[in-house]
Amino acid sequence: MTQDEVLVVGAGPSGLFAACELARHGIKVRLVDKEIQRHRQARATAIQPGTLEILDSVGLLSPFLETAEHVQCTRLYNADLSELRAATFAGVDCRCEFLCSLPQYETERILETHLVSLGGAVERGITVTRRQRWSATRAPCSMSTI
Amino acid sequence: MLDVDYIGSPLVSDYAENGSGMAEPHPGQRYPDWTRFGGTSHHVLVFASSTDAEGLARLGRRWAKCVEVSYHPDVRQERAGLRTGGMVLVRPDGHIGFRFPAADAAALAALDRHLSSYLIPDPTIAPFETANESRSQEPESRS
Repeated sequence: MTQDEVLVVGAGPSGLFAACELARHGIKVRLVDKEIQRHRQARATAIQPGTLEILDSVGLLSPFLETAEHVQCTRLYNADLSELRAATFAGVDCRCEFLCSLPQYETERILETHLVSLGGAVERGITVTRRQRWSATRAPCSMSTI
Repeated sequence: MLDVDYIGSPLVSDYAENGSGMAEPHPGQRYPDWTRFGGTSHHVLVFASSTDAEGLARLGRRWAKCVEVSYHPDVRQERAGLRTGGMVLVRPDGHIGFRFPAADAAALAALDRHLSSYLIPDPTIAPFETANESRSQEPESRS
């Protein structure tokens, strides 16, 4: 690590997006994750209109629109399956008046593809074991490779 | 969109006189015409003509990396919570960060100070003079 480099720990959606934005602004970034392999778990499956707006603001909306199901309406049901309430996203003051539904590993795949296109990469199998204040004689953190 | 705002946060400054003359949206609330802007810049919206055009241009250069100064004659000032002209700063999340009921030298100095509280300007362009600002121009706190 050098002093003008940013370390992002964890290559989930937040870490990937942070690394993409740093790379887009020309800042050197290392993105590490302790897992050796990508997961195949659904985890967070809904991207809200406000998050879609942020993805749009950095030019990343179209791969999400192409990959995800667009959820226009949510309905709540009683135990007897009678409808309790329905709500749409019409008039939410956002460019996207719907949710995007996709498994989290797809969100991560899109963001990782984008990061690679910006010259970045995910370093897998690396665990951060210690962090400390920067000084001239020692690195700010220690990492172990599986 | 989201039923949240951050009125009164240190992130926002409101120079509205006494608070009573100004309408919603207040700084901290979302600017309702945000969807026509976008991107990751801050936007300075100037309503009516600035009395300090040279200063406004300098402000644009000093903050060129993170702030866009926009004139939108078709955007109504009432939508930004102003009645008799002025300036608002819209943050990248679409929420208003700063409001001043004029677009003169004092407004530019106040905006420059507001931006300096959390962003880094072009160091080759000097900050704005704030000595002539009166105490009454301090932002009021809303709680």
